[in-house]
Amino acid sequence: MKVKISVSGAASRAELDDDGMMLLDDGATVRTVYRKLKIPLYLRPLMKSWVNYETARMGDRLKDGDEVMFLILAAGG
Amino acid sequence: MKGVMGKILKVDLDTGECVDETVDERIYEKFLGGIGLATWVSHRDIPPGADPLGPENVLGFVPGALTGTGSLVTGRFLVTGKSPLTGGWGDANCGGTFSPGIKQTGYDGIFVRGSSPDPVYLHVDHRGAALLDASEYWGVDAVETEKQLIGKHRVKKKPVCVTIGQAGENRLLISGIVNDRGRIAARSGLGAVMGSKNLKAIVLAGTKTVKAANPERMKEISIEYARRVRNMNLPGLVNGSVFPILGKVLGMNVRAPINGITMAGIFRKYGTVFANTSGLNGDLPVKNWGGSVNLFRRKARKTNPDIMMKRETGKYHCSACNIGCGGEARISDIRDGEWSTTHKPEYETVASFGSLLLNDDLDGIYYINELCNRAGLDTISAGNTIAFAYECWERGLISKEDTGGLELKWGQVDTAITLLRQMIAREGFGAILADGVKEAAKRIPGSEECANHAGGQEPGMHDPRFEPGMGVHMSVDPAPGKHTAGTEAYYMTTAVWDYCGWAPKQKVETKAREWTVTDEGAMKNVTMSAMKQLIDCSGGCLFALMTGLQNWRLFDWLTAATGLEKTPEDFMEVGLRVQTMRQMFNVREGIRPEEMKINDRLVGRPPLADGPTAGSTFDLEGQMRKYWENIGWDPESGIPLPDTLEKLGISEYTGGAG
Repeated sequence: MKVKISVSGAASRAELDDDGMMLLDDGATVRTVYRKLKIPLYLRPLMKSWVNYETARMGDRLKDGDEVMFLILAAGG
Repeated sequence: MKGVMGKILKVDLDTGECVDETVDERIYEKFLGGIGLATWVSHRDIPPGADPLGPENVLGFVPGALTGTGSLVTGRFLVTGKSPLTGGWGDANCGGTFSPGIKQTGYDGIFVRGSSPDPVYLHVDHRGAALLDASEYWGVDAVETEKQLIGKHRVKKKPVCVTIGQAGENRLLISGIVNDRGRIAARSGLGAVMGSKNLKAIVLAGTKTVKAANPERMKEISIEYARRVRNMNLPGLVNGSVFPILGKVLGMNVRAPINGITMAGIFRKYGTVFANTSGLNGDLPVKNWGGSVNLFRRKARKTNPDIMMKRETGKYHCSACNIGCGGEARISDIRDGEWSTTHKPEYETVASFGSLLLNDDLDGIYYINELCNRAGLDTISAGNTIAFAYECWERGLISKEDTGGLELKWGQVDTAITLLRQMIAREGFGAILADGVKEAAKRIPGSEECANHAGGQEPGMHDPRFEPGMGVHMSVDPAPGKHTAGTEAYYMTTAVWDYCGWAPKQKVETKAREWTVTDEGAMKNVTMSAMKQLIDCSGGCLFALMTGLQNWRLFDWLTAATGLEKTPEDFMEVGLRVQTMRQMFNVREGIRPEEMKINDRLVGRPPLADGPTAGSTFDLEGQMRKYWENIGWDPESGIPLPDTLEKLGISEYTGGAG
């Protein structure tokens, strides 16, 4: 299955295609995504995630077409 | 076209006449409303060469095409006119409550020309428009004036009001126009234009409703956006002390398309002050743009967003906004309790009077915030100007004899407050600084190198050496110096490429590419300009755009509100049209577009020696030329090409070929 990932600079993009899609096995969870993105340990507590705009937990199972988002920061003023 | 009221109000302060003008449907289809409508009126009604502070200038107040239609985060308005600060196109974007108030009086814009012999204010209600005596309010600050005028005219529904403070009355070229007790249309010096007209305020008490073409569809889109924003709560661990870390992540050498909706959580909790410390990634300007963030790193702890949250007594939302980045703050314990509350200072204000002056006295910044809001003074321009003066002092270009005994030393907030008071009153050394950096540099021999501005307007608090696109937009925008015109960090969150075929897709790429001149980079900047102008036609908010167009569904709302059969690309063409109208306004005023660029220091000439942006410099002129080429303006001169004017269908409004 494929899920869409939205994450900023600190993650590894090796497992993402040009459209930000990640290929996962059935049964994959949010934790699987964290591992594949290789988000540094020091950032993990700050990297809140959402699945389809709802707050997600590490153990939440994903399904094809889901969108997984991580907290990002852009400039503002 | 639905969603608009079909007419504008024209006020002539020379004759005292207030007349309605019906606007042709064709104009709405080309310009939608908001800033688009204002560019059309301004080209037509402001004579070329008009004195910005003379009666011929036309001051416009425009809500957006989406304002009041049931869409979300579309309650902003713009003030427009010929800028006395740059001599060219001027506009200032503002939130608050005034925008829907314009439509509720039955107008898509209020345009004021002429100059009244005595102070007046404009009052509009269901009986019509009238000019009333404002003598008793002249000299009264903006917050107090608004309070008194609303009290005077309140019947059942609370009226809305914009007003100038003493800075506008005294025609400071860095003054703005205030609504809702301190939300200010600050940029372009349009407060001085209002002051030059002896127009103290506008009070609106309309009750008309705005009709969308498809209200059910409007509601459906709004409900979904509200749900998405509501769910973006931050984890408790995300607090002020971790923003430097998140800022570093932002500053890493990678760009990627990301869903910007998660920004809503940060804006909801902190507003813009998260950038007080995230900006330590190199975005934060320090010591009149002459130092690196290393100089301010320790002091920045005192501007930690969490410290600011302790003063927040409640959230503040602009009209129709479900994000609510604003806040009400308690300041009754600051400086003998002169004022009890203020709007929570924006990041721009904190940086302008914080890092730019090497000042870490946060209470002083709160006080300055309210002082500027009440006087109607642009904090970005004022902070830049005082930083300029501090550097002049450091370099020995001015002495105690010039300053009336003041010592302008870095970090001193009391001196800044004294200077601000002098500037507002045009007294003492403040009179030298009252019209911003460019004018002050003319008055202090040898100070040009310390003067940071773009075409006369002081830059917003985001460092182009950290993001070159910020510097490009500050330079190519017809109202230069604005940090809101665009940058790469905004672009990557918009998802515009999913809607507009000519918008470059944000790929996963290195940030370093942004230091080089490319057609793709230029087209991103052009797209950003079109988006910004489109949201200013709509009454939209830049922060909402940053939550992504897949969430803040601007194109769907525009279709449902207006009933126009336009594609997203058609709507984006409106943005290009308006950007070119603004540029043509400058051209007809004899401005050479290359003169609007930011000064060398902001480009890294010479580069900073330390900090995250050490060594950073970029080919600004090359990037400007590439932007001009890609938007259809002459790549050497920046003047829109005749073919472009024809293609956009605006030759007839701009006096023909560029």
